[in-house]
Amino acid sequence: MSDAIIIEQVTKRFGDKVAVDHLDLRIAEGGLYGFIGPNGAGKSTTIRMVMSIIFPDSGRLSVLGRASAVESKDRIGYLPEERGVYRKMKVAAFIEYMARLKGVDPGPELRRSIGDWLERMDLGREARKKCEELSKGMQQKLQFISCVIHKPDLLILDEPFSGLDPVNRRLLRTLFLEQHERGATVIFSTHQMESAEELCDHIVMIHKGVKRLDATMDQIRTSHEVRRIIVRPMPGDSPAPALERITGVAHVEPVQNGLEAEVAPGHTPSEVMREIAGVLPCRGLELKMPTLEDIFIGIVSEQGESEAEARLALHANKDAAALAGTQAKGD
Amino acid sequence: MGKIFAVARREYVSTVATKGFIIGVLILPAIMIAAFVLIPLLINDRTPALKGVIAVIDRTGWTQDPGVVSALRQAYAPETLRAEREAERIAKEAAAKAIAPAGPLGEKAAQAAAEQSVADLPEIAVESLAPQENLDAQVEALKARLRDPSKSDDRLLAVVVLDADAVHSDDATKPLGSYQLYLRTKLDDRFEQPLHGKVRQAIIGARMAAAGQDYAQVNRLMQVGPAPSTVVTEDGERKSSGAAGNFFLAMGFMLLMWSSVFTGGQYLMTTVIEEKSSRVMEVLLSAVSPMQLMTGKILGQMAVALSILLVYVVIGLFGLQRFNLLDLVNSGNLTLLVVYFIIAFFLIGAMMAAIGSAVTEMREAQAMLTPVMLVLMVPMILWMPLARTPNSAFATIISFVPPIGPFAMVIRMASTEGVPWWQHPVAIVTGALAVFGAIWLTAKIFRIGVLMYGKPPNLRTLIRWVRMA
Repeated sequence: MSDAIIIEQVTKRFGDKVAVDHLDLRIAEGGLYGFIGPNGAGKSTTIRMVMSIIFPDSGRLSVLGRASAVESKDRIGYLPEERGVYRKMKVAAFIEYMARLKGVDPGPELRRSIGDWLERMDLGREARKKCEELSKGMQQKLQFISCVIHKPDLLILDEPFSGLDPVNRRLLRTLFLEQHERGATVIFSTHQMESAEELCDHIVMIHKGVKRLDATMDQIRTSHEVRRIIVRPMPGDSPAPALERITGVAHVEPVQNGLEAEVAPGHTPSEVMREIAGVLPCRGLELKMPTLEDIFIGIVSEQGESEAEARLALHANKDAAALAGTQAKGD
Repeated sequence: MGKIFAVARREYVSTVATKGFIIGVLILPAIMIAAFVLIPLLINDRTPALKGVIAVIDRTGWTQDPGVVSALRQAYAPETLRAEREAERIAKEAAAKAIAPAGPLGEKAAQAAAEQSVADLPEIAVESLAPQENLDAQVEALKARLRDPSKSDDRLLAVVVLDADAVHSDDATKPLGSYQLYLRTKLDDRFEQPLHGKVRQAIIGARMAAAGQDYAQVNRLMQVGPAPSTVVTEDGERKSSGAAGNFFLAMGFMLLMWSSVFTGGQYLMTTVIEEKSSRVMEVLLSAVSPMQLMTGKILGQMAVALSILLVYVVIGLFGLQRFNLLDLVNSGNLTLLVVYFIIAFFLIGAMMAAIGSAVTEMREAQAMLTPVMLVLMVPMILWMPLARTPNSAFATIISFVPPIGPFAMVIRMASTEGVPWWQHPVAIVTGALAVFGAIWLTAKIFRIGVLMYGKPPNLRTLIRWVRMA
């Protein structure tokens, strides 16, 4: 399988700040990739360089076999993070205009396809309204239509879920997967690790302009050894001291509905689980699978940053996202 | 190329197909034309027909013919009035035809207007009263009748009291006497003014007779008929409008170009700002390159400005044709007008696009517009000197300095002297070079600017952008 995007040693600076630092990346054709990392990590800058909207200071890029996206713009669908519509334009006219800019021939076929898409997105009745009359969520759906109307081979979506309610988030997810099944290469960026975890088959993690992780979901799950066991004790028991006495347990901390035990170095989780089962009567005993967030924090801490700092970066995101969510609803 | 065309087309349609544009650019001139036809029809200038008596107290003692009273009677005779009325109608019709639109409709309107504005024939009798011993009492009694017309059966309109020395005097050192006129209230000035004229004529007639002159003879000697001046042009002759024709044509050409360039430029800046502030810019840039977007937008708005220009040129030609001044313009200088318009539009439009791309909001654009406005004011200020001395060294030099050059050329070519032919290619070439320079510079600012949000850039930042891109 060939690569849809090749990024080699790409660096981009804004003044003193290095936004992307010697990035190497290959995106396989037909893949479903998630770019994750906190805000300001360099995700959008990378995507904009791929789109030839901004240009790298050094390094080499190739998109769909061409030297730059400028030459293959018509085969790419792009939903930028900063996205808007022409407020005074009619909904259907806006999609038609975007399609024409993407080189689609105007005609009955295009109009039919626009009609189908609007119906699917539950915007059929809005076709003749002006864009400014749509709610923010409807505008998002409109923007999604205009970036897939020309059946792109490569679909790049920058923070596609931000500002969407759960129903529309699910709708968008279905449409994504559909595009992926159609054979398109799909890349989306998000700072919400859960969305990426659910959807992608490949994760690229960027932090402070540097690629920290580039692997398939399966690889991530197998390579990150599970070192935590969740113990759910019988009602009324408080078995923490008993747990701490077990030799294979390094550390115990209370979590919701139970306790979490960390496996001590030199012991395997299966060995420790057997021991716990022998000592304590439990309602439940399970291995804790790491989330992407845990993996992110793990990687960041390994590279010298404190765990607290890493969590702060992520939580700042969540707060910002929550805030953006309430604002969007308030609009 | 297809994408540039698609951008230009959207730009044109979304600007032209708005209520504001249609009202501002198309309906206003339509109303103006309609006004030319309709207003003469609507305004009723008709004087009510007067009936009544003018009383004259003749104190001159001049009894020979022609006397003042008999001359005045003659002046108010129906046949004299009819002849006067016909002459007035003909003159008014000619004046109305000059401003009415061409065609049978306009002609009819002019006729109607002239017909409307001349009065119906009045029926006026002139009554001679012998001066009484107590003149003051006699005049007071007449004044009382003027004051309260309901009390008298006859309709006394005016009382003329001639001075005793109005016709002749033994004292040759003093000027001759005059007369007093007393009028009833609510009389039209279209009665009063002719009455003064007629009394004066009558007195002069009597004075001449008293001095042994033949009034009719002198009157004939004093008249020189009107002499129209005719301007001989290459393809015919026309009445002279004075040098004002060329002068106002120069202003007309310049204003026409100025306002269409500026309106189009404004639209261009506004749409760039709108695309930035509505965040549609990055979506667009995923489909077209900044250069394609900018070119498309400039071409689209140029088509808008050209449409405005054409509408007004057509109206202007129509007006010139009405006033029989069509030979002032020819296809040559109209073509040059369009050529200079395109150069001017690219220069100003590029500046406007650069400003639009550099700011996020309309408010921020105002400050950056000031230098552009200052440049645009220059042709306005220079219009007078350029139109008066179109071939001075200053005028020649400024014609080659962009972005004022195209405006200066348009003013100069419409003025009386004309421009040496070689200056047109030179001005066009320097203009075209300036256009390439402006587009190149704007493209650089545009490429960086369109994705920059936040604080508007200062000059240093702009220079940095140009060097960065």
